[in-house]
Amino acid sequence: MTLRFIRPETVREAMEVLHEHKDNSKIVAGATDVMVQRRSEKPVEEKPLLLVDITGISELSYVNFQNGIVRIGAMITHRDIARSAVIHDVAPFFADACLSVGSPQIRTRGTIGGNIVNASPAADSLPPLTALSARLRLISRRGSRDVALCDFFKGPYKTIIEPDEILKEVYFRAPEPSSRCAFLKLGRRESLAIARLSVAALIDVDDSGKISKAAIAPGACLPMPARIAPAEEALVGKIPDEEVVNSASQEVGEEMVRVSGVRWSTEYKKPVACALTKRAIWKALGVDVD
Amino acid sequence: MKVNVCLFGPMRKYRDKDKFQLELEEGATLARLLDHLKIEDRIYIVILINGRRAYEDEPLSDDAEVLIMAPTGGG
Amino acid sequence: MTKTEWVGADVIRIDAKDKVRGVLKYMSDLSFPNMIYGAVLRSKHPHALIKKINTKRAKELDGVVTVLTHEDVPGLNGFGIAIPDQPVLCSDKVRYMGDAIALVGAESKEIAERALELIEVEYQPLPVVCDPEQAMLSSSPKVHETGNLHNHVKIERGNVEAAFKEAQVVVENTYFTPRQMHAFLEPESGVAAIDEDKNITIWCGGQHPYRDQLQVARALGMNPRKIRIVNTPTGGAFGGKDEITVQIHLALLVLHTGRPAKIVLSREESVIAGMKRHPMRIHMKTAAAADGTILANEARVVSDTGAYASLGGPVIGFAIEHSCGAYRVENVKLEGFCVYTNNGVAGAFRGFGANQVTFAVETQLDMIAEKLGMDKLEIRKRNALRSGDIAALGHQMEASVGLLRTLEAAENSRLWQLKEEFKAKPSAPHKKRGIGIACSFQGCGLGKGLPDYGAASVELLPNGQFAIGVSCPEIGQGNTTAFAQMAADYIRCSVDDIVVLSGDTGHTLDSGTSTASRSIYTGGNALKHAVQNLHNAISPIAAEILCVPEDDISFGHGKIVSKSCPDKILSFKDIAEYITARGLSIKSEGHFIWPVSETELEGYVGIPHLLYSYITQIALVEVNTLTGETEVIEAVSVPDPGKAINPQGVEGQSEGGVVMGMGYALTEDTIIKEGMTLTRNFSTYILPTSLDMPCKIETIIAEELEPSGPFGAKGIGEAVCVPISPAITNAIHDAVKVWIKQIPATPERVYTALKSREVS
Ligand SMILES: Cc1cc2nc3c(=O)[nH]c(=O)nc-3n(C[C@H](O)[C@H](O)[C@H](O)COP(=O)(O)OP(=O)(O)OC[C@H]3O[C@@H](n4cnc5c(N)ncnc54)[C@H](O)[C@@H]3O)c2cc1C
Repeated sequence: MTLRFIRPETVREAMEVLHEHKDNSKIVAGATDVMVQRRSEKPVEEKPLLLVDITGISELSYVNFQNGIVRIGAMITHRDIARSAVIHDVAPFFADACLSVGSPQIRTRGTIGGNIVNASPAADSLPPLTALSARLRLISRRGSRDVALCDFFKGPYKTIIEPDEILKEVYFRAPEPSSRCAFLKLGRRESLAIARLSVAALIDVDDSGKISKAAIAPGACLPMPARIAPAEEALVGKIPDEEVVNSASQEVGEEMVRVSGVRWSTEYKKPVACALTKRAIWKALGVDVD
Repeated sequence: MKVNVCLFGPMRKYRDKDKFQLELEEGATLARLLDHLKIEDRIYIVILINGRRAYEDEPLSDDAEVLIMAPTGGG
Repeated sequence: MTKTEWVGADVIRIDAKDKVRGVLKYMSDLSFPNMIYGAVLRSKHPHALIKKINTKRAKELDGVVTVLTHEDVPGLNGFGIAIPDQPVLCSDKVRYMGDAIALVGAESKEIAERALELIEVEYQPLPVVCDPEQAMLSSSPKVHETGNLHNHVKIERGNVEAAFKEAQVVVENTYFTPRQMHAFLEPESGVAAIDEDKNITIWCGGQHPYRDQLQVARALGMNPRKIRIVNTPTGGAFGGKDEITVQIHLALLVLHTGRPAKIVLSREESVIAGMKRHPMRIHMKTAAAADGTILANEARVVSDTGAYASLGGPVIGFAIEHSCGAYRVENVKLEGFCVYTNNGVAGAFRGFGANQVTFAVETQLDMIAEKLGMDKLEIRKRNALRSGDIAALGHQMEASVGLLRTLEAAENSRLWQLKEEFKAKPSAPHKKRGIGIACSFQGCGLGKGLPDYGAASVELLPNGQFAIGVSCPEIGQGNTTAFAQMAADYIRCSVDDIVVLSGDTGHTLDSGTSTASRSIYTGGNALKHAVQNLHNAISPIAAEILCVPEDDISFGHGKIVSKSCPDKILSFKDIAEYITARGLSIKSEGHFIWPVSETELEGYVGIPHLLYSYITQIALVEVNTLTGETEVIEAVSVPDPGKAINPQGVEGQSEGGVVMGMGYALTEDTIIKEGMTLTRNFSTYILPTSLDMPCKIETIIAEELEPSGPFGAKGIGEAVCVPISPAITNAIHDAVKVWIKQIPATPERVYTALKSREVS
């Protein structure tokens, strides 16, 4: 009825189609978000929507590691990431995050590109990618541009992507081999669970035992992904102990309340966000608390 | 012929007793019995003749035991 | 009884191969040529008057075949097992968001759905009745003209006040239970067709084809015999398909169009319109003596049945019957209220009111044990009902009573024996472990007041096999396999020679519902009589062939043998060929009426029961003190099903029951605010997944044979999901010392309880 569908096989072809139909097209990758959202949308008769299915574009499926940079094509699935030797090697918390997505079916269909562009505050790949200071490459017939992940989001489910643009890849510099990381997620059950809270922690400790670098990025408690500078500052330059880790964790709870305000769930979420952060930091430091 | 009738649940409202004997003419059907008892809701009704589920058009026999109820129970 | 060959064996389910290969066709998989698709217009308001319904624009849409409203219901515009208070299609008023107002039949599902948007309904919204306590006040707006109190049950025995005075401990608490969803995989759905003589056949998931037949007939004003209902196979029901779902709508579509029709509810529609478990508020005051003997129990139970009665009346009665647990209590004051609101609609659900009150009473018992410093298992043993005891409603336990047997087996389980070891090793320092135990009993059958009956048929087929017919549908629980096993042992043939007909008013006799833990007991007993009649029909023929007297014939191991001359042997195939050649057939029937309790409670139907299944369950949990999350690590489930006809089937029920009861205890709740359902599908209604299941569920079957049951069987479909919920919440208390009085025990609730404990 009001739906048209096209399945380009090259990036070039896709860019043409998007250019031509920029006011009424929508990219579909794994469709695990698109299909759910479409069910609740009212069809508009005058403007039949053109679904541009990019699953046939093999150019968008790759994981590269060159010159210290990891590049992941937008069509790479959560399952691919969870099984990628490169990711396990350079950023295992990113693999953990993707492994926590949905169920085997969802991980097999859902793509990293879709997870990013959908821009859900609870998207599981975003905390580790934020902690890794990832960047995105967007392409269109007009050319290409690179943006930092943290500048990509405007709010929940809102990004700066233009209707004719395709997310080509997400990339990040591999952390120092000495650095350690952790991702923890709190859901309502063991699988098929959207994060109620999550935390990604990436930490490097120097020879003297002091924390030299720290990136703390919570998920599901902020409108869009962000690192928590006060928490990181509380860690850097310190020898991690109970007090240091506690005060850094406390900052995450404070930031959550500062950004999102006090809600009915705050009484629960704030202390639990602190507790989760604390465990993530310790886990990243190699002290397994689970 | 004589039939023994038992009314259950909401069907009790049709008689002051829930167990009684009735004299009916030979060859009477169940429908005749229901007429006699002035039972209104003839559709949502379950009748057992000698323990066997029966519908209105079935004949009754002498000394038959007829249980009449509506299937309103649950569990 | 001679040794059984099939009963008691793990016979592979007769539907297993087709189900695992995905070739079995459920009702929603069926299609007919020229079939139309039905869609239902649901209410836009939880409570409103309907001022006007205009279907003109919808009717004009291309591809729309028919649009039906209340004016098109030829018979009674109402349905409901107990009272027909739910309109088939609403005419003047809507009482919940699931209320049906119009019915579209169209060439495709998409067109039908588009047509729904073109139907104009003018509403005059009314104040929404959401709180059952408030609903009972005379100042409350009325959901039904008759008032909001649908059913009131009050039972008093002995003197509770005196007992409270003399007691060593008295505990008094208020409990809240959630609106659990049946969550069957196959939503309410079916297909229907009509022939030239206006005979209608409806293939639809359901739990009692013969009652569906009457409800459809009543709404159509038709002779029930012109309606055939087929309920097997049903893709899960759990009580949620006991009431009419789409049957009448299907019948209306085929009646008005003459074409086959199909309706499949979406999950959202199923969630909004379908049945739920009654949320209850339970105030309970329980007294015990110093030795743990329960002296008195007082309960006030308020049950939210939502917009319509369905089985809300019997459910509150059942809840009251089970509100003192499976224990002797001499002084009781029990009061139940079943109340109308605009909160969806609640009805039958596995456990039938026992789940809610068992959560309360089993928590009370743990509190008492703790105050007295008593062992949690010991206090249950002390009070456990035994054969001959008088139960809470004043009725005597006349049938088999297996509670003590289940408690003893639970006590000997590995988990209970080594409980301190299990608890000592949490997986992280911030996690705490606990073990909880709980018991319950479950009335089987429909109880006192209406005869519970059933029938079965057995036919010797020309190839020497047997077709048995029982109308209790196969809803996934495995009863067809159990029927085959019992029939094989009664007939004395191989289970492979049994063909089971099930759940079809066209081909099986009325055996009542697949509910109330009753189908094995009913079907088995009816089969027993049917096989006696079958043997009686075969004997003279065998005697004739073998030239021996009739009383010389015996049946054994697939053979018919002369007792006096054992080398004179016939197979069932010989008999079949003999009669087929003579144009004869052998088909017999068996009829059975349930025995009932001697006790009659004036004014009540459905209580008390005579027969109960019993169960003890244990849970080992780990509570995360930082997040409030609870994980059930292991569970032990000790059911007394009477004879386990198929032990593997009992284990399957037991494991599924444990997980269902775990969801009830920890995560599941259909949240309705101001009459609006917020948890509309499985992304927000949190069912346990396979990864949430306990790593281990040990089922120990404790058979207490029931003399009146087929091979000693009772029923087990429901009890298995009941005490596990309080076993889990009691285990939470054991772990972190907070009492859970409201389920589900979500992380927030547990966390908040932990915090307030720290504060106080
Ligand atoms: C049952 C279920 C469970 C889920 N569980 C989780 C979970 O646990 N954690 C989680 O994070 N998510 C979860 N999700 C959400 C979803 O699966 C993920 O967000 C997934 O990564 C989306 O990827 P996709 O390829 O399916 O995206 P699609 O649905 O195809 O697209 C999503 C959005 O991204 C856009 N898009 C996709 N690719 C591109 C591209 N290359 N360039 C430009 N725009 C693009 C689309 O236009 C659309 O707006 C779940 C979803 C379901 C249905």
